[in-house]
Amino acid sequence: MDRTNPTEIEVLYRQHGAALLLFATSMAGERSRAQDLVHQVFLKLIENGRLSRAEDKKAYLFACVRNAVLNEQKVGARHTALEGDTPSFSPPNRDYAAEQNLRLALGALPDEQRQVVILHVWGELTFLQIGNLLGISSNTAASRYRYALEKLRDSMSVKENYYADSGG
Amino acid sequence: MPIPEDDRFEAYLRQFEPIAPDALPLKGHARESWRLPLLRFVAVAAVVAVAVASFYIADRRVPGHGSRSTSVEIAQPTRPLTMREANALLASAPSYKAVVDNMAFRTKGTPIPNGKQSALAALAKEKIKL
Repeated sequence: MDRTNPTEIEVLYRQHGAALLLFATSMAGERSRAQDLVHQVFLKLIENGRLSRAEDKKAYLFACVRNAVLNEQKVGARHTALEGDTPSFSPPNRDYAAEQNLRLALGALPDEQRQVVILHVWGELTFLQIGNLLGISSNTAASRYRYALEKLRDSMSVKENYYADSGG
Repeated sequence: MPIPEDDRFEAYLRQFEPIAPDALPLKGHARESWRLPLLRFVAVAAVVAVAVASFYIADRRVPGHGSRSTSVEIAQPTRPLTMREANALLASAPSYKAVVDNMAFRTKGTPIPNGKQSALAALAKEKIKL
């Protein structure tokens, strides 16, 4: 059987670990629990080496993490309330107030919109990949994304800042 | 179709970098796969180094390699007891038994050449009346 080299999996962990953790946190609600789940996914992949069969490795990793969170939620029947205190981002210019605004704004989004935003912005998945991952059409994914972006923009109230930064 | 304003806001959002998770808690076979051969190599190298060092030290201790002698027996080898020495010992000793005991505890450093016999063996054959 063609097995994935553990070193390759560690490289993937370094490349996508942050986005995967953010995605898992957005689903599980608690960062430490989400990190445990991400670790479990990668350790299992190292053990069985099944990643080599996946055509789209990044999308496969997000799918594995999503399944791990869903399985854990089934077992524990836990509510997914986002943690309010633990920073999830390293903000530009050490603007920690903006980081908190973003985190709160993301937490206020409906689960399905939040997941699409995270997968597209930080996971850098296309709407087609997101559609396949979440079991929805790419159009639905794109539509959820636009709604989510609008809500984020309104709740963050940073129009002036990012227009100024981008020269708009 | 993406709206330019969305693109700008998206670019702004991307400036926030998600915090990386802790390192993978690899304890088992994944790291052993390269650690085990390395440990074996280090162990073998250590054994070889000790063996070479011991051989080198032992070689330096052998006389004739410029090192000073460390053994008294080598510096002063024991000669076989001659008849003359045995007679001298008998003359000066208080008793025959004391002489035999003295000769019995001599170290046998040098083998007796073929065709010759030690003074002890010669004396043992003689019939001496005490």
